[in-house]
Amino acid sequence: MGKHQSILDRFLQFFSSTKCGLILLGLVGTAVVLGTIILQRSMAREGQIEQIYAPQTIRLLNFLGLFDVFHAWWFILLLGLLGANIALASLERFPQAWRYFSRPHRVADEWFVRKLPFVREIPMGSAQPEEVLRRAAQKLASLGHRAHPEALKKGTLYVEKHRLARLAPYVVHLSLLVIFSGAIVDGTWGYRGYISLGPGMRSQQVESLSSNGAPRLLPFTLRCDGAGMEKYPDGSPRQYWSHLVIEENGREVFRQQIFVNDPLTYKGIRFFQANYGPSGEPTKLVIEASWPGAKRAPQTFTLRPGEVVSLGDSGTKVELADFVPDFVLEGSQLSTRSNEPNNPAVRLTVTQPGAPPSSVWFFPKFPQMNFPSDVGITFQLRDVEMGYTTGLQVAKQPGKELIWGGCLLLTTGLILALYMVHIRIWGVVGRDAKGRPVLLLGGQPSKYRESFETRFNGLADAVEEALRAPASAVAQLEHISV
Amino acid sequence: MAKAVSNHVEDHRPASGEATRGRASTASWILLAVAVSVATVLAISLPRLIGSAGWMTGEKFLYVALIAYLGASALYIASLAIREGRLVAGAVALTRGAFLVHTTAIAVRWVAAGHAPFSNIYEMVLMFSWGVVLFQLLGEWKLGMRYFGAVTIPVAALALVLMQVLPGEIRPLVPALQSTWLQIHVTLAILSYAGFTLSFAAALLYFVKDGTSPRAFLNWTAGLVTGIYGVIVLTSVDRGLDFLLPAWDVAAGEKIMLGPKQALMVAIPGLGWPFVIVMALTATALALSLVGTFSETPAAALWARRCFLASLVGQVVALLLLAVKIESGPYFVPQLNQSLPVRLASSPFLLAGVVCALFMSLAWEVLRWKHESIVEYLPHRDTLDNLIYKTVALSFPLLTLMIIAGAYWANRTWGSYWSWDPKEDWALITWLTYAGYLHMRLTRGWRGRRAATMAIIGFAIVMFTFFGVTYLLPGLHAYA
Repeated sequence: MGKHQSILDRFLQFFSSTKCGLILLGLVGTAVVLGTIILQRSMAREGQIEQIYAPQTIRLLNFLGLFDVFHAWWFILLLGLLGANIALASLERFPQAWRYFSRPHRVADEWFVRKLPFVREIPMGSAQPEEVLRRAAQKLASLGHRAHPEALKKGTLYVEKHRLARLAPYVVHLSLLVIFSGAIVDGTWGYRGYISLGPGMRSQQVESLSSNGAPRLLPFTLRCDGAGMEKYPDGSPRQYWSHLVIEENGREVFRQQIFVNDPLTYKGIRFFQANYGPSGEPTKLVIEASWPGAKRAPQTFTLRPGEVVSLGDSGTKVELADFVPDFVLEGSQLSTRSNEPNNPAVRLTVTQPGAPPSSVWFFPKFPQMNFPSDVGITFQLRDVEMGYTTGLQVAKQPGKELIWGGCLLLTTGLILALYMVHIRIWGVVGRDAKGRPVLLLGGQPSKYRESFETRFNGLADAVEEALRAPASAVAQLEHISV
Repeated sequence: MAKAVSNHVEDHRPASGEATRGRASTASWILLAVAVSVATVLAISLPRLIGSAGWMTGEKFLYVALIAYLGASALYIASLAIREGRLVAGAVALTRGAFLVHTTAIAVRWVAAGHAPFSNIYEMVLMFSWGVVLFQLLGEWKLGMRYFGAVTIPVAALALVLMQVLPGEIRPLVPALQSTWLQIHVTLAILSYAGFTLSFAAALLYFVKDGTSPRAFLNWTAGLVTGIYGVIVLTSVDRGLDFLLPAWDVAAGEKIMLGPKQALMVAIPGLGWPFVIVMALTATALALSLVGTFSETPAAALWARRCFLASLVGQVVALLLLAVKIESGPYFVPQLNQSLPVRLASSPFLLAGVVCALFMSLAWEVLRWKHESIVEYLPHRDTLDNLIYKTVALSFPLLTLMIIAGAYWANRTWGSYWSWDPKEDWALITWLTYAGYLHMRLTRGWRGRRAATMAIIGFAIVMFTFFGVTYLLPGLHAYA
């Protein structure tokens, strides 16, 4: 039994050691480096990985999860181990630190003070020990170092600053664990997604950010009452905004205009202005139809998607079948370069009386490309009004209070740990080598010995000077100040 | 001390007969090299300085500051070597003056742009160099660490040199950057990077003080310079020894691109050879120096130093030729059957590499020339070790706050506090590195060389996070 336990003990001992923590830090660091050097799937364009890496390499990296390092099981495991190491290491050392913190050693003797790293013997002449301690304490207090009154009654001048700094490492470690737990809560119960809305549109469905994720339903309906952008004089974007309305059971319950950096929050779900732009769908086309060869004046008409327009009294009906805003021919495929109507291609369905519907393509920027159609009508695009959509990021982060609380704690802990020094100064009456009574001052910092030395010497000098002044003069001074 | 022994052990000391002549000639070479490189920068910048435009965007003020920083760098380095109070006083005065001009440049740019200069890599470098000088001045004032100036002011000057080729036009703020969190996040980034620069300076000086011989430093310096020139030769020199630079579109102020990652290259005939020669000389110096280190051959060490000095001269020549040839463009491009101009602005890394190599080489020459004097001047190594720790301890909470502010801001903008974006990743790597340093020192008692090495590695990572990620691993931080 003893042997079994000792292996476990040794394992726990190693697992809670700083060494193990440092090894884990190094491993996490290495994994993060790999995640930035190897192109990650989430950052890659379609087919980019296949273009860069050889097939065998892809198989190997896929197997090791190196195309999605930050979500790979072994990376999560590493973070978990690091968290466990931090927790164990802190638990193991905390009781000792707490004793140190909660039961400070205030009352000292001469032997103790002489063992401190910084010691000064200050001559006290024939003055009474109580009087010497009282005057030294008074001097130190005037320099911002108040002595502990209880200890002073027991014959020790005890000055202490920033004792909390002793607990700082545990505050830092605890804060990291709080942040980790916030991330776990978010990863388990939170989600992120995307909603794309045109003006006047409603949606309850949040699209997943990954290509294979399932959409989620909101517990309410989101309506967009308008969106837009402001531009700088040079045409670059200055601000995007959306007017959002929350509806519950068909009734409007909340309304807010959101901007980039200024989201809407409702029932723990937040909506962020992510992008804005033309949807690629027209809302209105103004088209001119002409009949070459026929004695008919050209006719201009307005066409909206889904609408059927009759041309004059001839009984010809026209309907929008397809609109490609910025077409480019890739082989025989027609695709669009952007959502801006830079180079449109329009397909209309034209139905003439007594004939089956026929398709007519026309290209306003390249009229010579227009297919000869059998309907005998030529179309020209006079104007187009494009629709736009606003893109909203959606996030539910139930762990975010933990995250920000942890960050606050982390900052506090680091400031305590690295900017604050726990310093202690003890003063007792003792005897020098020749047996004369002296005030013994001793001090100890938790770090930065050099800076402390300067400070300690300055304080000791001031005390020495204060003790050298005749008691009567001090009494007089006190009298005057009263 | 017995001359024979010291000659054998510390081979950086020239043999007694040649001593005075050898030192004098080295000294004059160094002075000449410094003068020539300062003159080069002046020559590049003066035509632009005289022109009337640019004062209102702060650029001209920056040239003035750059020239003053270069002078201050030389004075700080010289003051390590020569015990002369006026040198330090001059360096400090020059730095303070330059800092005022630098501050003016920032203020002018701030007013002209209507927003704080925090929005792209040019402005980041502007603020970073300012932060480094600010910390240097604060350090001089509070801790009396003037000797840091020999490292920090050259770093600031190098940053300003790099800025001369970064796109510096004032752009309006894109929507995502219009946030108070931008100011907080960037200010913290600048301050922590500047703080880590101080710990780098302390670590470097620790090695000098700790008795690292100039010979060992030569191995490192020659290695790094060979590396820099090796990369330049591999990427920019073709087989006909022509030097390849991206063609510059003067009207648009950017490189002419053929594809998403492929620039149109212009061959500058005959400019390749100085770079090849410098690479060969430093590689030879490195090889000889390594031979000298491991086989204790004084002759190898002597020739290593001579080769390195020759390479230093070669570097000055290469930099001068590069500047002259670029200015005397345009050059003929057969593919397009027309002549196109080139600019250093198209390759900030090239200029940074060349100037950095020159600085390192000069610093080594000064170190070798006045090694004992420098070691004597520097404070005790425990003081330096403490300064490494103090500067890291000062900067680490700033780095942490920078990451937190960034996360908070990202969450307000995108609804995600952490996106594993390359810049975030490298900030995390920096954080892990310095967290490692603090644990090593505080709980495992790491002191001295191991701790100093870690501070140097940490600074290299900081610099990669700052520049490398922006150019090599762009992501959400596309603006800087």
